[in-house]
Amino acid sequence: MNQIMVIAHSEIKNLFRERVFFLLSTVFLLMTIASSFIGWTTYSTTNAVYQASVTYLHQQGVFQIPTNPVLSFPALASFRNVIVYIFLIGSLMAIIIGNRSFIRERKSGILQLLFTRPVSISSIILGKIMGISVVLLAVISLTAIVSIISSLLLPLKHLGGVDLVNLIIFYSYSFCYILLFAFLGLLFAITAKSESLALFVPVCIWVGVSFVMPELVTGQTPTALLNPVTMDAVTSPGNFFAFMQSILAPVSIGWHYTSIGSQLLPATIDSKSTIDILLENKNSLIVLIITLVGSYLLMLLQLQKYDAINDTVNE
Amino acid sequence: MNNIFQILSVTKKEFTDALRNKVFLTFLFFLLGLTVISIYVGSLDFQGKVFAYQTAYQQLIHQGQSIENLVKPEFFPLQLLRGSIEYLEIIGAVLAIALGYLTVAKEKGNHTLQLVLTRPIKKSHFFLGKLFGNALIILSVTAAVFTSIVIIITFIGGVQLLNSEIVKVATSLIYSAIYLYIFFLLSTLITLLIRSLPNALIISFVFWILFVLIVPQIGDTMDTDNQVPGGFFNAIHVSNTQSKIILQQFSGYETARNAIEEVSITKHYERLVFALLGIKNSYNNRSVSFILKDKLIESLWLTSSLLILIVTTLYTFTKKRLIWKE
Amino acid sequence: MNRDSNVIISTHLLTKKYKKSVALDSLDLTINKGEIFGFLGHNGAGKTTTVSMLTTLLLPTSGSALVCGFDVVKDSFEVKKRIGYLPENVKFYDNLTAYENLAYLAQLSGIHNPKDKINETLNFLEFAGVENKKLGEFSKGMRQRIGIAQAILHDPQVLFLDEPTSGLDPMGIKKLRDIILKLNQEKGMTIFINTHLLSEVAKTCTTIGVLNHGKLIYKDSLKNIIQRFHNEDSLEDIYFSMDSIQ
Repeated sequence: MNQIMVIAHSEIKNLFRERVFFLLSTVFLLMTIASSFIGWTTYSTTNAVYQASVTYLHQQGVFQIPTNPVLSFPALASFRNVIVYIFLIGSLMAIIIGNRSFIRERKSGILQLLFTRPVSISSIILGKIMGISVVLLAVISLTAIVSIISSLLLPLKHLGGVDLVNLIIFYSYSFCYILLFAFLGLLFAITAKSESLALFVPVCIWVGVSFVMPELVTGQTPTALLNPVTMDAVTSPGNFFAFMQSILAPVSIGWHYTSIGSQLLPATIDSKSTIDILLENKNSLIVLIITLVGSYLLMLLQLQKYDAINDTVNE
Repeated sequence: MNNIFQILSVTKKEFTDALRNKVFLTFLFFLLGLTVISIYVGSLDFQGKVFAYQTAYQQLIHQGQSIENLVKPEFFPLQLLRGSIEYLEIIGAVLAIALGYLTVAKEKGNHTLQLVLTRPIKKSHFFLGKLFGNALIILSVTAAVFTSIVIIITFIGGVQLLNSEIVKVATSLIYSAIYLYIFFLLSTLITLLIRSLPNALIISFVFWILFVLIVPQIGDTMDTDNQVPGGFFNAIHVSNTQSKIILQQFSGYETARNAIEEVSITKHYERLVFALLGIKNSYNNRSVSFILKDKLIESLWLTSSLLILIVTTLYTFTKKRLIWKE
Repeated sequence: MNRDSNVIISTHLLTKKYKKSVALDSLDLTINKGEIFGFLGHNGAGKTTTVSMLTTLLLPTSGSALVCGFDVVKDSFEVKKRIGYLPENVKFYDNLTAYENLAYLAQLSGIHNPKDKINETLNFLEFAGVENKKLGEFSKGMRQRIGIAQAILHDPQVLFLDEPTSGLDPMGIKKLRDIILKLNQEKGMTIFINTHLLSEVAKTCTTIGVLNHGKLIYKDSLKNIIQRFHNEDSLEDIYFSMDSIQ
């Protein structure tokens, strides 16, 4: 246990001394702040557009006008952009953190030194995972705090107690989701022959999880699901998509993320209760946990096969 | 004469090296696979819509109701390219970033640069050779993507493309190559400027995610009409023409939104190619020359970014000290 | 500065400074045609810095250097036409074959039809038959020999070798030594070797220079050195006693 803590500690220290880590988390944080601001501007502009439309229609002699649809949005709807940013930047950041964590050891030859010490392979990996988890948790919590504060500063609607519960569940789920990508980064940093391959392969998988699988399941074009409003869009009709749904839907982790995320941060008031959402999606959550455990086991297996003597990492 | 010979031998080496590079080949096959999938998904999506239309038609006729409001889905084969273009925007750009990174990183990391720079070749000629080589690679990649698209539509889909449509595809190919080359140059420049190679790659990725995914997404979410599923104006029974009149009062906001989109080179590329391929409905059945004239601003954005980047990277390469003493 | 026709490398107050340190301090060095010059020094003494400046890779902070009668800064192109260079731990494009790597570098040196030249060079190095193997599959020793091949393909007048024996096994070191002597005797090449291995210097070099913390502290022919210190058994002793005469 003690060894794991030592490795975790060194991992955290190393990460905090890497400029790239700061760059990535800054981009992530700035985007979160920007998204609150953008959400607020858009919301107020849309309201103004509604008023202008009412005036215009009155001039045209139309008096039967539907109520402003935006006013009925629940408070959490303003957080929906965060889903997209965690989905895009958070997961990519996690890949890079996982990647750096092991490439660093391999390039410096420290891994070789670790292998000559009485440390088990599982301790090495667990230590790394623990260090990375702490760092990712810190970043996620920071973005959560920043978005909650900015939602208080630019009040669209007041957050209620239930909203806070949903937010906490959403951010915890987001943490698990990006942790998976950190695992992916770690796994390929252990196995890949070259440094660039170690980064490009997980990015390919990331594209597969984020764009290809959702496209196959829903029939929507790759970027259609990045719009927080149309996120919970309908699936295209047809046998193919029904078939694809039956095969791919259970394992489309990226699609689960946007879908559960948009249920937890609903756009309409007649939304389901938090417990219902969790129960309905329990299979998706189980799949995520299984994938996490599975990639941990794969890492163990790969590190056991790792040849410390002949390891040369190329560009 | 000797200069051209030297430049060409660098060009040839870049090309051979890429064809044997696992990172490059992985991405190439990934991209081609995605193109096929998204054409297939696009056609199935369309079939589904046709089926839904027919069912609704039958139902309405059966119930003796008017079919006036039913919109018949129209088939434009080039619209099937939408998914493929989006993958070119995303994955194609990653591929270009990989090429740009590798072309510098290999020389720096393996110290082969020392072998080259102690030979009587001018730095600028050496770099020109690299630029040509990679231009050739990117042109081949886009040609491969678009050729497979045309083959799928013609032979598997059984749709004979009109000559005018072939011209539109060819024009899109050229602009796609320019778009990808911009990302190649961007990551080349970043890898030249940043001393640590892994950091350079990561920073290229940050640029990629901002330009390709985030900025266009911001522009999209700021669209007032996008605030409600099915359209905000639709929800309050305001027609398209009416909405334009109303939005005139909000020109400041619309300008800001547009300015954000302008930052992203991806958006310029998308506007141009979506118009060419008729993915944006209003450009369907228009001639290539009309579309190019109408979207002149977009092609100017693309070509001027291309030129600026070529000059900057060439300048950086020739002026910057590339060999570091530890 | 010495423009004696017999002189092939000469430096005058050659200096390289970095922000915090002086890598090379006012080096005055003359090397004659046909010599095998051993440049001795500890790690970090400034040997690689010197070679990098002589091969035009680095610009001097001050001072000047002539290689084959040309200034390394003003006429760097002319210098490049006349030198061959083997960096320490040489690496190539791993995805290309030995032939493709050599052809590429030969073409950059201005050889239009590299095929004959490559065959000739590989035969000279007794290394024919590996042309179509990818460099990624090569062992360290094999890579080193391809490294020498690329450095001599274009028949340079001076060959710079930076720590050529590092990482080689005794057999590899022996082969390398034979190649160096053969190049010097059969092709009349002047050879500049950076090394920290004294035993190597004793077996191959005709002249020795010793660099210590960026300063040349001694230079003479091997014969004279041994005479002067009267201790022909151990070059190691000479090395340490030179270190102390400062």
